[in-house]
Amino acid sequence: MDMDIIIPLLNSILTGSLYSLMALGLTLTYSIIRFPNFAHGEFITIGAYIAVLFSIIIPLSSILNLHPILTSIIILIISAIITGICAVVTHLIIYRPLINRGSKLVYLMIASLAVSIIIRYLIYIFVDIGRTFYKLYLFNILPKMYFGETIKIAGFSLTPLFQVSVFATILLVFLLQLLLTKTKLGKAMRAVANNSQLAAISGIDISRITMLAWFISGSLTGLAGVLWANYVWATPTVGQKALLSIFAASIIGGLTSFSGTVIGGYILGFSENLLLSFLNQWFNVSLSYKPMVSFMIVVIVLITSPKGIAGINLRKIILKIRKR
Amino acid sequence: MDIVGFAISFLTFYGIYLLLSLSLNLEYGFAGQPNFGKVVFYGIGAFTAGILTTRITLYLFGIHLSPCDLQARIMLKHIYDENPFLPLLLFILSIISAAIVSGIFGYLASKPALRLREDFLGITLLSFGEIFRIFIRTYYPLACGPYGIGGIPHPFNFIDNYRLKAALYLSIIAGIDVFVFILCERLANSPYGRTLKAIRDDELAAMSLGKVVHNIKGEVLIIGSAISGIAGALYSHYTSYISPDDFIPVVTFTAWTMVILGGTANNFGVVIGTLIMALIDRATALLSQVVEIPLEINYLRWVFAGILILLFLIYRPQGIFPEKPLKTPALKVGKNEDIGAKKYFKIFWRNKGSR
Amino acid sequence: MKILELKNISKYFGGIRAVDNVSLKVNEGSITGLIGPNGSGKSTLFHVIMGILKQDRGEIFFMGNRIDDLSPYDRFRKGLVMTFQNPRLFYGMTVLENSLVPPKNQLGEKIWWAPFKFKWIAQELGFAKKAYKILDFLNISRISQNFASNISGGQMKLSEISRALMAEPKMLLLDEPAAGVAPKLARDIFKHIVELRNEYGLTFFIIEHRLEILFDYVDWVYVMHRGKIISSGRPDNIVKDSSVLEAYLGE
Repeated sequence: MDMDIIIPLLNSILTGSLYSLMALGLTLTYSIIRFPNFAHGEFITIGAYIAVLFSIIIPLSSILNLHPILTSIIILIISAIITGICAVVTHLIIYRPLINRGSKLVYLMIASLAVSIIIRYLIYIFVDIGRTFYKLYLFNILPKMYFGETIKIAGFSLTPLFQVSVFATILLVFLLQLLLTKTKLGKAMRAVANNSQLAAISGIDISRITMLAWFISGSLTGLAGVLWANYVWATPTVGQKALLSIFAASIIGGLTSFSGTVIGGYILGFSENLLLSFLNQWFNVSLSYKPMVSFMIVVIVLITSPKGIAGINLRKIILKIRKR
Repeated sequence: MDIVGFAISFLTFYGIYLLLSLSLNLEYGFAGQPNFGKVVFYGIGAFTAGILTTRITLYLFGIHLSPCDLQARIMLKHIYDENPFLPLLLFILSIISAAIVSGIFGYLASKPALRLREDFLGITLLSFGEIFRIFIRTYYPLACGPYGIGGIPHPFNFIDNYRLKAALYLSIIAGIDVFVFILCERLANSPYGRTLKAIRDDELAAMSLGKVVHNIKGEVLIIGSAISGIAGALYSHYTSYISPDDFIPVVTFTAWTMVILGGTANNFGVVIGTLIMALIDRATALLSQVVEIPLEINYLRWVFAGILILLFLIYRPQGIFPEKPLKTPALKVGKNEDIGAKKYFKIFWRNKGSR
Repeated sequence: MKILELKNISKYFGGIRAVDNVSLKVNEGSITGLIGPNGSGKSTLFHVIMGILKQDRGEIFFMGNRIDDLSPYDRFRKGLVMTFQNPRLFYGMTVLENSLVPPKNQLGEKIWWAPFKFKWIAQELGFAKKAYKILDFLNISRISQNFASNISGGQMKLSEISRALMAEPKMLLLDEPAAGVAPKLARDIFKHIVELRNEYGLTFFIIEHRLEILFDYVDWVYVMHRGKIISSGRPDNIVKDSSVLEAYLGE
């Protein structure tokens, strides 16, 4: 198979998987709090730097004497949990008081911008401390993690990062789906997302469910952030840079649909890699235009179907075509 | 420590930002249109000024070089020195064209503003800001890509005294600020301002009471964008060199903090709010020169600003100076029916045919 | 003669027929009532007449002209004004300011003239005095300087009505003008309505639930149930109509 297709193809799947995880976090919180959280990207950065912390600064590999893959998995889990906790904390200190005071949507969005700035610059300070006091260059760094060896299947070279990412995505999406559909907790979450007043009357503890949703959202995104940092290297702005793509993925799912978001993540992954490489080879479109791809998608989706894929009513479309 | 120099540069920075915050107050505080893309119109104004000035000069003098060329910039500097009034003329041209071009884009931006829900609109405009920056950065022929445009003339290039040059420029900015402030105040305290507030408070009711909402939204965004464009042009000619990375979402965020802090729908409040945020910005810059802190104080400043705005959003969302009733005659009618009737008696008598 | 005529108006929401093939006429200078149990589509019908919702089928005629493809602000210009069940006041402004929004052809509303006070100040004064007079007529002039968010529910209703009157309407659509208001005040409101009709020839089309008050003041009544008009006639005939009784009790 043509080398020019294989690498973008594999990158599409890798990127798409990670985008799906990150966008799922966004969709999860949006369905509950009902405003776009512009600080969501920072969870990626938090996850990334926690991995940096435990793989380079205070390397767990030297503290625990375990198989390197196991250590890396432990780092993944720790990053996920800490990011999840951070997410819950931001909700408790900032978003909940605002929502309880009946803050306007616009102000909630501004607040999320403020949160993203605070988190990002705190991370800058962290990196700066590393530079001045510990002589470490953390502005652009690859976490030291080990996920196994490259596997070759049918001419495809699957890197260890690829293996972990795809595996993690499949596993987590499956678990999340299971949680939402089969468990009482998950059903309660869907009820709150659907109609919070009705849910409250039915006896569901909104506050607890919301915190859980934030925790899951934060940990999914943080975990994906670790893997993403292994792909594009960790910088204090790594999350902010990915934010647009994640929003695009979530918008494809109308900001509320689970499956739509996953599909969206892969659409983004493929557009940014395979599609762009195609445009680059055949139409000389510069690869630096990558962020434009996500924006174009946002524009197209919002113009044609603001509710995303979930809003596409196949019956209506078929009826319209029949009328002509 | 050069206090006068610091004051002039601080006030210049303040004056330019005041245009951004006053226009945002008009768009959001009065008309309820959340402009999350403020930096775009600022940037369009700045780049219009930069591209136009450099290219026109090169064209007029028959130099067939791109303004991105280093050699072209050297030649531009030479031309500006030789022709003392050229920079001034170019400056006036810049301001006008920046206002027009930004205004046009403001009108275009009002179209999605009509159709999209607030949260989607916020996402779209914010993303558009980033796309604008990336596009300028990537498409080299337009504005020299990541290297930005240099060689933008200072209108008072012919003056050698650096201090005088800066002071004169500041007085121009001050003049524009006063004009824009008076304009915004007059627009706000008039039936037009009332219509804006009506649209802000209840669009549906405003429409049912005869207001053509989509036209008015367009008008407001055109004016707001034109003012932002002028601010951009002022910035270009002040720094003489602009790059796409000067125009990041943080600019939009800063304008919003100035409005929220000072008080939405209160122009005087916005003047104060802008001052406070500008002080925080420049004071920390000053502090880092004076005090020896091992860390980059810039980062702390942003954390502090973020926390400040969150505190206001939670505890005093109306800002320091809350909205006041419109200063039209309606304020006085009712309090005291006799409103200096002698003064307006003749006119009123002529227009007596109300019911 | 008919000031308002609806022919076969229907409005669907998905599968629900909120308004189902409604035809009716309102005579000029009349006080006409629209009653029916909750959810029968009365408010929806008003929204369609005003143009806030677009009808799926049917035509609307106002003063002989078709208006169903006009936007709400064009219908307003023709003299059709509506008040809402839950008052849609402009809560960031004072009561008096609210009343100053409707008057047509205000020079100061044009962006070109707005910065020049001398151009519109006389007009503005005139409107302000008229607004104050109307507020006085409805006995709420003392709250004219209050922010619309800072008054009682009953005062909000009255403010909305006075605002509607500022528009020099030909016909007023009032959606439950006396809802949540004390009975004496409700009767006062209706007495004012009759006064306005008698003095200025305004037409009123009123949705109201308090039939015991409404029936004392209306000339004609339409009854809606599940989106359809099930009965119409003079108040004293409607009370005898069994289908109306069934509709209300059946709910």
